[in-house]
Amino acid sequence: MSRRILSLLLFWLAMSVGQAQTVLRIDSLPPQGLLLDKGWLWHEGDNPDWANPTFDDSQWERIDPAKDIMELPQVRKAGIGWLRLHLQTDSSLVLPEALILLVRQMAASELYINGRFSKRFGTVSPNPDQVEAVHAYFQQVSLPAPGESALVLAVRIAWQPGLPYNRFAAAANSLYGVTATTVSRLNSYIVYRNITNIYVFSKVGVFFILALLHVLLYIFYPPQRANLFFSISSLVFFHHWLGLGLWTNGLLTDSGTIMYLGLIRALLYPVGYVFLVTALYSAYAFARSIYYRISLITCVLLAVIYWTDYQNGVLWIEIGSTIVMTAEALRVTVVAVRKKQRGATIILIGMVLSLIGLSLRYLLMFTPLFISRFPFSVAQIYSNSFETFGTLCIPLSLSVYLATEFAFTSKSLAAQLAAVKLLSAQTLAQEQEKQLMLTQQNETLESKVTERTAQLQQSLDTLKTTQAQLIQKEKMASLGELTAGIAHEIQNPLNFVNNFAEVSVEMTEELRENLQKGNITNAVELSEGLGENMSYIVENGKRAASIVRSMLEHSRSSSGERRPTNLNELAEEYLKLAYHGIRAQDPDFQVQLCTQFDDKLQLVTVAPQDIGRVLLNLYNNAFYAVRQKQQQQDNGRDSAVYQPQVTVSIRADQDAIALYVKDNGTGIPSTIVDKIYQPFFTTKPTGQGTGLGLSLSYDIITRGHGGDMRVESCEGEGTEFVIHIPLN
Amino acid sequence: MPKKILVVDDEAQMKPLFEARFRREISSGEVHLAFARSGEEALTVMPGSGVVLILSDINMPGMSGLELLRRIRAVNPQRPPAVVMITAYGDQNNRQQASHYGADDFLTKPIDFKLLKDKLTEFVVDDQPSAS
Repeated sequence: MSRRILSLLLFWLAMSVGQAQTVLRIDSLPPQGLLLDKGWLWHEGDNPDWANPTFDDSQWERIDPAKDIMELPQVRKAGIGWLRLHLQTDSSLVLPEALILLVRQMAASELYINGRFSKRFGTVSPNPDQVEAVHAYFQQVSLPAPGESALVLAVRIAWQPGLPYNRFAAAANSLYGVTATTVSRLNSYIVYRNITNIYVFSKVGVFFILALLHVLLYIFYPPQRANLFFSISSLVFFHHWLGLGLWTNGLLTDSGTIMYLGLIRALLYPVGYVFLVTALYSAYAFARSIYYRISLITCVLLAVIYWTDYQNGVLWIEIGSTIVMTAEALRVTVVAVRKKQRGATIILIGMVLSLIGLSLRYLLMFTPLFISRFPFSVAQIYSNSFETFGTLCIPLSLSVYLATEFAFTSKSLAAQLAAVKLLSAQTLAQEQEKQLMLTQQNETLESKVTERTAQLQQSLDTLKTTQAQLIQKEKMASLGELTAGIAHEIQNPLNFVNNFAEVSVEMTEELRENLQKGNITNAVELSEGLGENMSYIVENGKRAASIVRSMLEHSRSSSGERRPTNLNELAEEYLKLAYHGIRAQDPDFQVQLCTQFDDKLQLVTVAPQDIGRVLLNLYNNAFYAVRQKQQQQDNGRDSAVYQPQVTVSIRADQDAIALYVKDNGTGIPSTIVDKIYQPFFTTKPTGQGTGLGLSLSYDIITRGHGGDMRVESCEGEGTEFVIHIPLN
Repeated sequence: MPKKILVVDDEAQMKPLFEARFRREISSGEVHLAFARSGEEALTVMPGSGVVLILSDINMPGMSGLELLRRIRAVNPQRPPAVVMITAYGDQNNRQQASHYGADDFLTKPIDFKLLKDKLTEFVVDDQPSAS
């Protein structure tokens, strides 16, 4: 009690001495320590004597060095100066344990305690260019041994101009902030700081992992661009929390680095949120709405505020962008949930949890509702937990959402793969079935083709047989036409054979009689006559035989045998046969036959029967034509004018024989001249022609002998057939 | 007076054949034979020859026997001369035509000379009174 009275007396004395000296008295220390922001004196300039505790500083200017440098224009103007503080602690406070000072600064300083140099932060120099300010964040300075209750703190201090001063994490850039505490109190502070570190670096780690994870997811599956946006967002927040962690732990001390880092950190903060919201838009596959643009513009405005408002700019940009972007994220998510967007509920839950976490944190921090109930460190643990929980809920929910999307994509791909496999199998099965059907159809077709071929072959055989029969019929028909001619031809020699034989019988009788009578002269005469008769018989017998042979040759089925042939003779022989044939039918028929054979013609290798048949056919046609015309003329009583004529010519040149059969008959109408070689085409009345004559003739000449057969005809004037037979 | 017979045929051996078969009649002066190788030749030989019988082939190059008959009958509608057609074609069609044109008879080859000689007597003897 007496001590307190004494203290009060001393204080009063000090005050009453005319304010010669300002003394800061510390009676009690709160758990978190006491910020020494009063009692400080300032003088610009640099003088080593000012460290002396006994130096009279009563004329010095009062100052609060814990203030931000930007709020201390006199310091900035001076560049260098001294701070002094007279500190009086209560002995009850001092006795059990020594006082510890914790220094925060954003300048260069040298601390003297009771005139003795104690601690240096940075490089102090009257030359502003040499000043190196460092950032000290609750750096410990130990005081002399316990018990000393009166202290004079003298600080030689300089500020570093030319730095982009800004408030890192909203904390003031104190010139020289000193907090007094004790060892026991410091321990709880360290615990608090360690806890804070754990939470801060947990966030750093989580955001790093999220950035890495989602950039990998993006690389693995580029179509989901939400992963890329979310990865960038996470990278920004990783940077944000890492910066804070480095700052609070004093791992970063260089003022310049910290200022630049702070600047970047503050400006990047809304960027991180913008990417977070962009990731949501991308994940929901929404077109960017007007709200998105408004939020972006707001962020730009917040950046401008940050640039202009030194004191609260950081709060504006960080809290403002958090509110704006979280609201937009919430809005978009609610829309997505309403649209029953797959997985949007996950993010909504994340957002709700985030709100709950952050709300609890701020309730804990700023209301006495909880603080009074827990010890400081415990409250800090809760506070940090809620804060970390709240901060991480949205990114984690988005991450979970994207992961489920990835999984869904994989699943759907797997399902699609399975479907494709199934379809492939089905297609394969169908293909095989089709193949089988095709094979079967092929087999059926093949068997049908075989069957049809056999049928066709049979038809062909039948046709061949029929053709052979028809050819035979045609032969027989022409033979029929010939019969009369042949009969005439054969009757003539027969006539001679018979009659000469009969005469010979008579003459033989006479010869015997004459011989018996001894009439030798008569006998010789008779025997000479007999000899002549015999030679006539032989000659005519041969002639008949030759005719029969020709006839046989003509009718013989196996024609086509080739041998050297005198075409002149062949043409004449058949002309005769044909002529007699038609004369036999119509004895009244008269025709002038002209032959113009080539005397120099050598033997030509042909099938004589075939060529004979052709000639016979042409002759018959020619006779038929002239006869028709004659009959027409007769009907018109104009017979004197018309003289039927058939001309047969043979001419040989170097490589071919040309046979001409020309008549001045009715001619062939131009309308049917194309059809005359068609099988079964005939102009003759039914039963008189087979219609095969010219067809077979054409075949014999073109296919049989490699020649050609042409016709020139003028209706009413006549027809000429020209046959060319190549010599080789 | 030998009976003058004209044989018209394109076959050259008809001459030796007829001469052989009528050798007795020729040597006895009963028959005189003349030959023509075509209808045209026959028509040139005919006038004023005193031919009482013409034996003609039908089927000859150029003028046929039937045409020859027609021409003869155009000048001499009745015998003499008697005209007998001899042909290898013995069909009905030819016979009818020959008869239609005024032939006295129709013989087919090979010639039956016995029959011919009989007919010869018939043709010539029967006609003799009307001719004289």
